[in-house]
Amino acid sequence: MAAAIVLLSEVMLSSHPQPPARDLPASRQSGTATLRGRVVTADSGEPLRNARVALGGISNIQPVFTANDGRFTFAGLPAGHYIVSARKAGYAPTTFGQRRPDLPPIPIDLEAGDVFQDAELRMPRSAAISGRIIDEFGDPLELATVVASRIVRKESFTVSVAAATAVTDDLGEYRLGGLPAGTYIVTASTPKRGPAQIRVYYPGVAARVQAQPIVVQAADERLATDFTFAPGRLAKLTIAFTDLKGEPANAVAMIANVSPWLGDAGVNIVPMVGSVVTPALEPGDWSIFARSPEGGVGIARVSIGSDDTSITMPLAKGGRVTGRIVSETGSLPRDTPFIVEGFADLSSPAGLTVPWSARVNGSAPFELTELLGPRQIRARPAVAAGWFVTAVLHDGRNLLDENIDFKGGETLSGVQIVVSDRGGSVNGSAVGAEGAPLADYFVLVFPEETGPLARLRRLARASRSNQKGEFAIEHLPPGRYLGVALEEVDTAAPPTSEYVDRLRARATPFIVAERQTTTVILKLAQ
Amino acid sequence: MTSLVVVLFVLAALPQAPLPLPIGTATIRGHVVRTDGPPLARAEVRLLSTDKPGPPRVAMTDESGGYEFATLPAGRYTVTASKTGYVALEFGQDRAFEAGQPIVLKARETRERVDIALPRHGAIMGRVVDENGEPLEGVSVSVKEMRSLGGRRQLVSVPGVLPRQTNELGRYRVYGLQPGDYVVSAEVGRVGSDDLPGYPVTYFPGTINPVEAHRIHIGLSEEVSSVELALTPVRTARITGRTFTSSGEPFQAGVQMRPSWRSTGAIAEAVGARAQPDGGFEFSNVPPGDYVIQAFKGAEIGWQFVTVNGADVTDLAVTTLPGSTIVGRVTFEGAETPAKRDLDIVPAPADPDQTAFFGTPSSAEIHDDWTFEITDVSGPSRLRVTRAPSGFALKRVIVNGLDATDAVMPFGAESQSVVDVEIVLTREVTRITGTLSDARGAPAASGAVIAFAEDRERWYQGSRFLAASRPSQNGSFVIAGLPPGAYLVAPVDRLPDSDGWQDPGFLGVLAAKAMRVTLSDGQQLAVNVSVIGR
Repeated sequence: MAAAIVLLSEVMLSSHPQPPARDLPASRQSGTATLRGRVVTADSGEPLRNARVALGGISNIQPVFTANDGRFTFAGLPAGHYIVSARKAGYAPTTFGQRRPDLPPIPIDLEAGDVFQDAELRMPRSAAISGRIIDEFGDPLELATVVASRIVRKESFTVSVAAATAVTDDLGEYRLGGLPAGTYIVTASTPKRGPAQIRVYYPGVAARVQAQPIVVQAADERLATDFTFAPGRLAKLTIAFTDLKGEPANAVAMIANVSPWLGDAGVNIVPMVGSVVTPALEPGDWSIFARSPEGGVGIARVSIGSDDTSITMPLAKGGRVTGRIVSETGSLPRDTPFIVEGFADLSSPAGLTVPWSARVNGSAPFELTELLGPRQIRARPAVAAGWFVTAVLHDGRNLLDENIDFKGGETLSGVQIVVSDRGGSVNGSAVGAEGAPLADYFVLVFPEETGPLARLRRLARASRSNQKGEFAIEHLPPGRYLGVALEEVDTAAPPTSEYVDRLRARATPFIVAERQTTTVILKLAQ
Repeated sequence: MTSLVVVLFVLAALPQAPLPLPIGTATIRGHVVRTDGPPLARAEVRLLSTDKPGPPRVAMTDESGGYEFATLPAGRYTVTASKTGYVALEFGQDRAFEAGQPIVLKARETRERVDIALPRHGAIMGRVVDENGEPLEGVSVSVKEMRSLGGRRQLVSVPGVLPRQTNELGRYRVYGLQPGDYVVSAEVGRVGSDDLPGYPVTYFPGTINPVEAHRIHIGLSEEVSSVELALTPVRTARITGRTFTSSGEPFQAGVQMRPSWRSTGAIAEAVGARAQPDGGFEFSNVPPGDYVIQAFKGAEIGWQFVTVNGADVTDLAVTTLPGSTIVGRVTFEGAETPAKRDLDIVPAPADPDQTAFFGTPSSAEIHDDWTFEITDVSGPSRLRVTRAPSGFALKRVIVNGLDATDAVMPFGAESQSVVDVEIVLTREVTRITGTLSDARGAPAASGAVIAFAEDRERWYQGSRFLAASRPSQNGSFVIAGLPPGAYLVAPVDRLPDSDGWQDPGFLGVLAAKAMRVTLSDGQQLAVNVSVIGR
């Protein structure tokens, strides 16, 4: 499970650089900034009282509750970057400036002494899905866990995000409330956790590919979403592991369901041990990673239907990369840990299994092992932002943004990952078609020079304007960039070359120089 | 691989019956149905031999609710049926707490129609709203019973009944209830959390004092709905302080807090503090009320009373005490000394607020020469003989030459230790004997007789002036060992569970219809009492 969550965040990170980690305030920080606002219903604008309003960004600020007129105040705030969100029973959780759950909200940037008065949060009524779950004999199924997962479509894949969880009562009844409008998959699982746990998708099917999505609008009540827990027979997959000589080999394997969407409710990882293993699997695409005690590794992807399937998984010697991180300017702080990854593209079977990474401190040597298939060598700071990779040097070649295909046992030693903390920043504002300033927009910046997709994705950044209509992007590697304002940008989906090419005509060029801030006015692209 | 299979097989086999089930020629058959008629398929039926120990046999009912146990040896059996959502019952039982009807089988006998009708569980449903009547989500609703434990009213959870959270409509459903009287409580943002502060634990219909809570009666299979609780915010406060050992060292203690028994009249659940290694502790979101904070480290315990009224309480110091020691000897009036040391001497806590929230109190170690020692005693206590050798009763307790029988003595500090305690036992044991009869004048085998001192000052937990006895099959009862004095004797048709009958309120009601008797040293008294109104 943990691996599945890690892998999902890997996907996000590929296009979305980590936000700067904020030092946690010691305790009950105080300052001189004030943030005020109001919580109202989205449909009628009526004030909502007793709504719980919380500030993201700084964890130590206590939540507040709205008064009868829906108003709230956070006083004595330290300067900072705040995300304001509200919760109230019967309404969908709402974040200031967030148009849809998968789009970023408007951050509120406050300096010392600033007062921001207009944080209006418009809360739509939440939807609910309720019903009854019975077993194959018609008896109510008590203590089944029922999960509504929201389906969020991305450019190349779909994720499901658990939005509500309920447990059936003695009548087999459940209610999944507080749902934002969207498309949901409802699953029910038998009470006992573990390998014997059975999951069924609404309307009572064993495979997620057969699940029937439920679309809800604000305030919808999907009553009588009843289904029968009648687990059908699942197909068996028999995997025989073989070593380099083709002899049967013992292996430890993880198998994860990777279709048609990924996510906490969708990915279940089944551990397996032995030379021949036979789990029963729901229909769909499965990704398998195996390793043997002798150091062999194997990666495979298999489609399971309703018939039993057998595969042989040859285990090969895994590739190995060793080296050091070096700073462009020579000095690398001892206490700056980096995460070095043998990053697998999503299109490869390895892309959805286990991330290969190593955490190293400063200039300590790193080692990546068990590498198989096409990989890119990447590094990112584990804690503090600001460091970025400028080159990956091996044998006089720069492997930055290049795929290295590991076929079995290749070793790259003495790799130098060159990093720098001498990035620059860009900030500014944006104007519309008639030259009027924009109050609320998204920003996409990307390298001016066309190049490999990996380079585009490494250098592209997305952001959103704050409450003043300004934007800021920090820690950009120096170079020539293009920037554009957009009505909407899917920050979770990585940009493609075709997409940015369409934006070039309206884009504003700018140069990012070491340790400097460039201010630009971006134009809105349709 | 083969060895692995063998190991698994052995492991799987171990928990199974180590002895083969005895084989016989008798058979039991029957059906499990719902009390309203339809058969219950896939109900679990357990057969237990009452005369031969051994594992139960288990069967599942078929589609028509039928089950069968064959190849049974002759003997005496009980049959119990259970199913999720239903009250488990034994054959012959109409209610969970009544006696069932065992089945006596002869060899080659087939007993048909051993049918069991299961009632559905009861349930309580309702809604929790805030002060504006708007639903409160995520409130934990519990159903509890007010029990008397150690003579004190205490809210206890009902076994097998889980608290439920309200949904976004504020609705809840708590189920799995046997017939009985229940208290419903709603809790949100409990002490120590910042989730939804400002609401105290509230009992239906809207009180924060558990003693004032309405009892909701649930009959068999009854579902009570519309049990609505409105929570009203109060000014909550934060309590901070530090814990110190008796030698003045700060330490990271287990720190617990609960509403004071003195102000609520009932014992509520304790909550834990956020504690730091430097001895600092913090309780947040504390509603107004009187509380007792207890810190403990090993055998050391400390108490601190706090009254909270909306304002933060800071810099509270809780110092633990090492516990006192009680040393003494047991003596006997007259020449006779019992052969065996069948004797328990305990310091019985006299103040629920200054009783360890957890753990068992210390008891005396009695030596061969009838001397004894009790260590780690904390909190005001009375010295009690909870078990006396056969034919003996407590006469008096002498501490430092003074009569301290039934006296509350402070303990906790080393300076409060006592080393000259004499426990005097006597053979002059009082006896109240009699016969309990029902309304028709026939001997009553059920019910009980309670004898209690006329003096209400004696109505405290574990008082030796309170006694209860259940009659034998012919209605006769014996109450032995009460100290001399004036007593009230009253029959009851059912003895409240545990020592709930020691509740002063309960005794007060009984006093009105009780018979007055006077006992002098070693007096034997015969009385006849009737259970009225059955």
